Order: sequence, then C-alpha cells, then structure tokens
Amino acid sequence: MRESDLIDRYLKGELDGETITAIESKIDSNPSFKAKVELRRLLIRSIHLAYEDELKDKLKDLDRKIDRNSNPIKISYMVAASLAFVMVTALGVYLYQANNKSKFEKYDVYENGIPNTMGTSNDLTFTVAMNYFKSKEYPEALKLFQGIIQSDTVLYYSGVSAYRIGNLDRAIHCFQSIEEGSEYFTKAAYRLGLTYWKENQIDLAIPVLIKVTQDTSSEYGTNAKLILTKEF
Amino acid sequence: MKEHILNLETSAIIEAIKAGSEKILFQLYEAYRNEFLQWAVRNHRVTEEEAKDVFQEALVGLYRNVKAGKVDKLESSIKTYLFGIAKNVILNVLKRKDIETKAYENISIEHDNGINEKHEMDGLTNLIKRLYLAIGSPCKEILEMYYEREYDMESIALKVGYKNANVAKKKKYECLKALEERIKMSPLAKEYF
Repeated sequence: MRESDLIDRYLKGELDGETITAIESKIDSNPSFKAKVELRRLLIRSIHLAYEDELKDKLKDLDRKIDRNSNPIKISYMVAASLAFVMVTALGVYLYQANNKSKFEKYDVYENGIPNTMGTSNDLTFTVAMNYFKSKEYPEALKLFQGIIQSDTVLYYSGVSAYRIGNLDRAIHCFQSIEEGSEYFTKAAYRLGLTYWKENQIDLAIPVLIKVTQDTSSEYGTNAKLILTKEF
Repeated sequence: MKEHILNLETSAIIEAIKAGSEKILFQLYEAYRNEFLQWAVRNHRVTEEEAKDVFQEALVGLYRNVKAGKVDKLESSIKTYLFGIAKNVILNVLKRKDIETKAYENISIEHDNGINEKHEMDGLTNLIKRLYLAIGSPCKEILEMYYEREYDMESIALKVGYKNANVAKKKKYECLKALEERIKMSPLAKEYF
C-alpha cells in the first residue's frame, strides 16, 4: 500500500491495532513522516471546513427563497427597486468603462502565449487551452486551464484569460497565487495591479505596482512607473 | 414538507445526513425555521437576521456532529437536539457581543503565546482551504467526495466518468500530491512541513 493511502486510512480510523501501533511509533521516531501526517490531517480539516462554508451558503440561499415565497408583494417592490438600481449602475459602469477602455488597453501588455509541447494528457489539455488563448477564445481557454494542475504557468494564463473576459475576481485570485521567486511573478504582479486599478481599488493597486517598478529591465517595470506617475 | 420530516424516525434522519443527503438538512431547516426565529427573537437579545444566522450555524453543527458519530444514540427528537445546538450558538453570540463591548474597556497589553499559536494555525488552515478551493476541477470534487462524503473509489470513478476505481485512485493521488506541494511552497507552511 502507498504511504499516502496508509496515512489516509490511519486518519480515517480504518486500520487494525497492530498497524496503528506501527504507524504511531513511526510518527514518534520519524519527523518527516510526522510532518506528512500532520499536513494530511490539516488538509482533511480544511476540506471539512470548506464544505461547511458551502453548506451554510446553500442554507442562506434557501432562506432567501423562503422569504421571497412568503412576501411576494414586498419582494416585487424590492425587485423593481433593484432593477432600477441595476440599470442606473450598469449605465454608470458602462460610461465609466467606455471612458477608461483605451487607458486600460494601453497598459495591457501584449501576451502571445508560449509554444506548444506534447506529452502527458495534462500537457495535451494545456496545449489545447493555449491554442484557445492564442486565438483569443478566452472563455474556452479559462475553462480548460481550470481543469489541469495549477502550476504558475497555468495560473498566469488563467489570470490573463479571466482578465480579458472581465472575470476580475478570478483574475485577482490567479495572479495573487503566484509567489515571489516564480518566473511569472513580475508580470503577474503587474497584471494584479492593473486588475485592482480596473476595479477602482487604487489603494490595493499602488503597493503592488510599486513593487513591480523595482524590475527596471522589463516593460512591466516601466509601465508600472507610468501608471503610478500619470494615472493615479 | 414539514409532515414528511416529522414522520421520519430520528435514526432515519441521522442515517440520511450521514450518507451525505443535503436535502434532509434543507427540509429540517424549512420545517423548524419559523418556530426557532420567533423563539429566538422573543427570548433573546437578537435580531431576526442574527437568529437566521444562528439557525444556519446550528444546522451545520448538526451535520458536523452526525458526521463525527456524536449523535448515533440520540434519545431525544432531532428537533430537540437541533434547538439545543441553536441555543448554545445563540449564547455564544450573546457572550461575544458582551466581550466585544468590554474589550474596549479592559485593554490588556500582555502577550499570550497560546493565542498567537492558535492564530497561526487558523491562518494555516485558511491558507490550505484557499489552495484547496483554487485547485479546480476535477481535483476539488474528487477530494471532497473522498474525504467529506466518504465515497469509495468505484463511486468516485462513476461520478467523474473514469473507466474504473484504479483510474480514480491514481487521479486522487496526483491531486493530493499537487495540492500538498503547493501548500509546502507557501512561506507560512514552510516552518511546519
């Protein structure tokens, strides 16, 4: 049995007494094994917590549905008011975006993707996703990128795809997940700053873009400096 | 719908929750929600919105306790047990309100290492939760089915559309490995693993 499966069965309480004693003695004597068990324990706990959050969200939805069904008149006023609000907001957002469109496009550094490679099925999905990206079919690209293991490359191109289709929350999440030291860090940080700016979260955009300006050798550093000095 | 729940034996309700039925939790919520809201608002210093939040939390607590095997031999009705959890949650809410009020009056500058350690572990759990949610499909679904819903590999293969249990098992292993690698790369987790 693989060590990983053994840890699972130990934590799920599926092993017999003798095996449990052997595992516990290994935990006491082998710090590296102990760390693996602890990591798995925390991971399982996090999965439980994530599911409980989802369950609570579903109960909240159900609650809203119950309220809607019991207060149809009140709700119809609320729907009318909400619709009016949405329309006014949408008009405002449209005018704001039209005004800013060229500005954001000017700073959106061209990204032509990376050459295709062939190999495992994961690579194959990546290749197809990258082809969609290159032909600017961003929704399809994003959908496929999401289904494969999230390397920095995948996170970066998922982020760019999400940004291009206006899924700014997803773009922020992808760019934020790329850590310092990665070859994608500078351009991901630049695009994170750009995305915050597009969301009008200038206070978040500024520190991120300041960090990018430290990279004086790339156009990302230059552009970040331009945004900070000319646009904010 | 209310009658439907009331007609079920407590043990049947518990078994259904244990098997992963969300529908039964939703039916419980619908059946007892109004009665709880009226009771909570009338007898405690909570608003209707707070009472709703409490009752949702209580349902999640019921689910958690059933999964942990804590209610296998329940002697009271499920409604009594659910209201019992809700009452505890409401008391905690009230206690928290009092603590928040008093916190500004009694500010302590003493450091408590125990609190710091707990805070760090909470941070680590949150980080792992975020990385798990970001891992995408089908990894998230496979891990949820295995660890939360406790499906066997045959059922997971069937749900995801794999040829057999071995393919599902291999995929689960790859997903775990990728996720654990990402966790280990994070600066917060480095000192622990």
